[in-house]
Amino acid sequence: MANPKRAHVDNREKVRRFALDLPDAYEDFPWGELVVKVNGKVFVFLGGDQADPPPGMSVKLRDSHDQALDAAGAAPTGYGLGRHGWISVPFGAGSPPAGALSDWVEESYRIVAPKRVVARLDAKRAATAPRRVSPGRVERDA
Amino acid sequence: MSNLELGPDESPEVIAAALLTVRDRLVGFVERCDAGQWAARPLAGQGDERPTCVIADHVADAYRYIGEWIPQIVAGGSVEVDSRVVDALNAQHAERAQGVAREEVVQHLRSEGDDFAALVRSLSDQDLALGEGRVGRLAKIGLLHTGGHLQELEDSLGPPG
Repeated sequence: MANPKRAHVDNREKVRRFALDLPDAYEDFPWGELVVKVNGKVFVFLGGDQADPPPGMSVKLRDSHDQALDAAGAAPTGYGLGRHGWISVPFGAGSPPAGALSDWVEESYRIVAPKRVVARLDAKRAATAPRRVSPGRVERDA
Repeated sequence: MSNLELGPDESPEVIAAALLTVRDRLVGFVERCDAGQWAARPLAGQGDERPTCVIADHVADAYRYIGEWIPQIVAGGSVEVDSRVVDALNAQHAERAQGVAREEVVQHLRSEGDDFAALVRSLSDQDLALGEGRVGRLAKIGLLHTGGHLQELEDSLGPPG
């Protein structure tokens, strides 16, 4: 049986590492909580280590906003952030797969980051995207 | 509490949310501190004789006066603020707030803090840049001021209760 606490830790760490791998992203600890920023702006909140509120992330979404709200336990972020598109998604058993969490982190990054930095992400994605070499067969660039 | 710094271009909604997060921590301190901590003068060693109750209420009072300056600057007006002006406002508040009740302080922090956060949230990124960035600096001062006083109380008096 999956350990729910382990799942919290795993998801938080996966999201943290994914976020920090985005161009110019760096972590910070304003008001005692872990956040990841780009160009001085937060694009994902990862909370503190305390149990209340439960571990999770908050991201700013547009295209995936409604989809993310359908995730188990997801809700508009408090303190007025929800009305600006921020959504809080809890980690743990029943939370969306890590791939979906990462997609939402990237969407938030694209909303918050300057265009010139997003262009670098696009270039990075293009360089590592699977390249179709023949019908039905793809190859990843080295 | 660790680093309260926000980025130079942080969005208004994030500044407002951070402010409410720290405000709620100060409210928690006010609600849980014991009678000795409540009556203590934690900054007496620095020449500030205000007791905890007045310091906490002063944070709420600062939301009010900073919240009056911001719309004036956004509207294109000039606001003259220096240490003399701020010291006078704080001295007036200290006289008014002597013996203020804990429930009043909590209510004051909540109402003025909510109003200040709503004001910040209503600003655009462009608004924050007005007055050569002064609007943004005042918005962040609301947060940093709260966090600074909370830090002083925790450092001087220890955890509440």
